[in-house]
Amino acid sequence: MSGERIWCGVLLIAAAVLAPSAGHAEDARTAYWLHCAGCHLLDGTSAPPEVPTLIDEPGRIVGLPGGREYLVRIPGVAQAGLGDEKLAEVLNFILEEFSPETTPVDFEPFNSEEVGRVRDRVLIDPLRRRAEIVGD
Amino acid sequence: MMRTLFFLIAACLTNSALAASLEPELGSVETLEAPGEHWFMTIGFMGGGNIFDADTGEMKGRVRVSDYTSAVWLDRDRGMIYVPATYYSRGTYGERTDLLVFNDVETLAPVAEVEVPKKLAVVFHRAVINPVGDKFVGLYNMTPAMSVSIVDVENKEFVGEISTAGCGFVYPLEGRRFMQICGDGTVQVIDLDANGEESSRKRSKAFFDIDEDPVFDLALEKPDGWVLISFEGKVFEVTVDGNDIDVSRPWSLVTEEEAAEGWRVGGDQPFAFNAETGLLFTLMHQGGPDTHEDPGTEVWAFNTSTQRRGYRIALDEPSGVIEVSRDADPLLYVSSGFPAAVQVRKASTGRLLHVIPEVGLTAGHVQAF
Amino acid sequence: MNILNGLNKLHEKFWRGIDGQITSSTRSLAKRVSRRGFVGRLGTLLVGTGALPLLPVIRDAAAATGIPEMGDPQSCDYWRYCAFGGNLCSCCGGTHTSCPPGSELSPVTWVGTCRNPADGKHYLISYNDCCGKEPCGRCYCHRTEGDKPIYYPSKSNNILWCFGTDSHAYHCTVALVLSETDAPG
Repeated sequence: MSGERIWCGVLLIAAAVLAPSAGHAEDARTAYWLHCAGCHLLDGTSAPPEVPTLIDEPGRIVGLPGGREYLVRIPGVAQAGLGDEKLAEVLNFILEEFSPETTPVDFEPFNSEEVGRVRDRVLIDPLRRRAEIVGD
Repeated sequence: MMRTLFFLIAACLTNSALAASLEPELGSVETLEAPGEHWFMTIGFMGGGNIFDADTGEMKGRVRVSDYTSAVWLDRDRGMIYVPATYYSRGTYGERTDLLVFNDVETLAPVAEVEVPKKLAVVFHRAVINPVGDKFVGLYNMTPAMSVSIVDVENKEFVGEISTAGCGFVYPLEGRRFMQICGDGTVQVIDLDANGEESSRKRSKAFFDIDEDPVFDLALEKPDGWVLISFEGKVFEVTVDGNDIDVSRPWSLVTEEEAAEGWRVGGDQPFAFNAETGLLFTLMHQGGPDTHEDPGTEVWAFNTSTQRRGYRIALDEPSGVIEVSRDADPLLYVSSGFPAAVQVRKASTGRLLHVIPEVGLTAGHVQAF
Repeated sequence: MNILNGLNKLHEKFWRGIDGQITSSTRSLAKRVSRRGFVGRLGTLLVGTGALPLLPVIRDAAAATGIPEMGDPQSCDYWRYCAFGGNLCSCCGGTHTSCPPGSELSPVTWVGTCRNPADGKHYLISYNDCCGKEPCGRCYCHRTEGDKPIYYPSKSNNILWCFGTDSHAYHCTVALVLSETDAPG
């Protein structure tokens, strides 16, 4: 396990360093590192229960009623220092990177219009809302 | 002759008696009287809470705090000082314990502890502990997720933890409620029920932009709410009445000319407010953007009813910490130097009354009682 | 980081003449080239025997990342320190990429975008704290560019960032290169 991790890590760093800075996938990852990975960590495992994991969870939530909106309104997302378009890219990146198996096949990627419209609607009690959506 | 002899014998006997009756002094331990309105406490780096009487300049005693304690709360009614504390079993490592320690004011000794979640925020800030209502105390947590732990200080027990994602600190309001500052440019009000559990919460409209001009972490108490000041010197008055959260239109600490000269508010404890007189005191320096932690070279005093500056004082030594007493004849405390000294000034005029030396290795914080 | 204020002031006085100036010139450089960010654990990297499954401890930065280097990692002017706040681990028994012996590397960090003068490119720099011991107290280096209040924690350096470690006692800070990046917009 640890050997694998070393190689994964080396490849990750190598890819990040050596790959030409290209398009949207690279930018979304960098933006994720800068604005999200502090609490949610580079591999998305986060620090549950205080910081909910990104592994599999967002994909489950995005398909539930109210789930899409919730993901945009979470303070860490809504308040992030990113414009609407980049924030949409980061949300899509998170789902694809950490939650590919639970994201519904008919999931429609976030776009800047939806993110811009939803993020200003303040979510006053995020944990309570999450419980309502997930049905805890 | 006999008389003289008699006196000589008497004197001799008396002297021996005196020599025999000299007893060694017994030491004693002081007890503390109820803290007055001109008392303050300093917390420095890795240092305890030194308590001073600003009128006499005397140190009155020390309350023990942990290396990670930023502020305490004096409960005058119960005669207690509550100290939020984090300890490791081996000092800087080992098993972690987070506590609210109850210190008896008279003896400045711990008399009780309540264990709380190991999440106490390690941020050097005043509003990590404050009362909520008359029998609860709120403690600010960061993991880095933000929450508030509620302790019932009447029954000395932990009540529960309230998740406050996106918002920080505990700024008490009348009744059994508190205000927080949120990263989306709003303030939030949370109400507790009689058991100390959350009964409701509400947000104001956004009134500042975190990127353009955020408000400082430090809010200043006024009778029905709190005063917030932004990095650029805009003063907002937040008034909470029932379900209404009203935020005033801001006024500016600096004129356009002064802003052009680079005058900005800054410091670790950059301003203070006395609600009885409505006087606001700010530490000002000249600098560019992002200098909000620079110490001030001057103290500016404002009358908040007229929103006009009353006086400005040039300091001999820059200061990053200013505080004012809470009473109607207030004293201003300006701390600077290493080791730190506190200048005690008459707040209404700015006149220097005296300097209290060696208030703590560094008075990173001065808290008026 | 304010909890270190007093000791930092003392050391600022002592070291100001020695480890270079904490001057307005470095500040303005920081303003031009750095950008605040927030990056966490590089959980996929292990070092040595894998006792720390948290973060890379790269002994030779240039060899590990293949980037050219210049400047003195024991000076606050070093290019990687454009968004630095705290004591330099390189003065405390560690290096700019490794913690001193016996301290814990924190998973949660600050990230800045600094410009490497050796090749003119920008890199994401991760400022991980080393924790579990008293503050090192040497080589204090502090740049507040883009610093926000505590209630916006992802961009506030007034918080002790030793989260995810056994002890949150702050000792010193390193500066790890994570990747190349575009110049900040």
